Amino acid sequence: MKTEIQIESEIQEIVPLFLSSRKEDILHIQAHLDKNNFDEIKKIAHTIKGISRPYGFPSLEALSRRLEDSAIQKSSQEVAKILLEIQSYISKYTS
Amino acid sequence: MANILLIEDSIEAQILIQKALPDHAIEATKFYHEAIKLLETKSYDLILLDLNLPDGNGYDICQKLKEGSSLPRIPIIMITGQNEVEDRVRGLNSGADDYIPKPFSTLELKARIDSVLRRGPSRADQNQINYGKLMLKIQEQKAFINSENTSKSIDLTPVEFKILLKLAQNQSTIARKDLMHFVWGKDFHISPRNVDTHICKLRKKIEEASLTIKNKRGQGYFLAQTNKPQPVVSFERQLPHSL
Repeated sequence: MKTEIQIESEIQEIVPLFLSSRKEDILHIQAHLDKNNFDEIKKIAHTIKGISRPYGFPSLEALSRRLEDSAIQKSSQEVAKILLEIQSYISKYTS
Repeated sequence: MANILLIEDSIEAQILIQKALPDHAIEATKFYHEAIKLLETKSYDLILLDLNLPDGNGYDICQKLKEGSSLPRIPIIMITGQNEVEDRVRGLNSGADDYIPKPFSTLELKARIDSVLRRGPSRADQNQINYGKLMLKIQEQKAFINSENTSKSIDLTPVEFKILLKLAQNQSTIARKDLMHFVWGKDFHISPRNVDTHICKLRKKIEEASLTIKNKRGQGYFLAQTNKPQPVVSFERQLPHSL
């Protein structure tokens, strides 16, 4: 499966699982955003930030860092904007 | 190959680390309390520790292991998304041997694990061998049974201690003749029944550690857990010449 940067072959095998989990994350973040539950958004963003690069997706790491910062600032507008960017980024690798 | 306990709340990070380290035996948990139980009942060469756990904190595990707890002292590498200088300092001060910030490169992770394992156990640890709940202090020739917060001494004779040490060091069955040579020396003639008597007494003394000594017919003795699979001993240690 395509990744943004080259990764080890052992990790390649589990990239589909990583991407499908991110799709679920997007749904969860959206639900939390609807309830202004920024703490949960921050937790999810923090987790994505920590694992995206070793799975081969450094831009997702940068996006989730911005998402985490926006959640800390409780900016629903910014969270919604970055969420769309993440959605678009993920779809490039899953379509 | 090292036995590694991975304490990490993200399942995907667990999978990633397990895939990245195919040469090591990794047992993973995301829970603080489960980690403590595993550390009490099994032996590991290294701990990879995340800080945020659903039911606790990685710093607590670190301190518990490093500050006089009954748990064995094992090298710890913290892997965490908390990357401020203060976080790293706190991690190292609480007893971690190394600190890897997330996101990490799997190559760097491997290199750091190898580096920590190369250093081996500390001088203090070389004097200690753990087998499940059993802890043997070699220089002092003392045995203890560990539980979460306590460490209870077992009253052993010097011969019983030597037998138990040999069995704990040996990961497979040891012939009665070899056991006799180790304990009494090759030139000392002693009845095999004498060994059996010591083994019988030892069994009773280590019962509380959920351990027993089994006898494989025609092959010899081995140490085993009474209610759990046999753990792997954490470090191969040389017996001091004084023993």
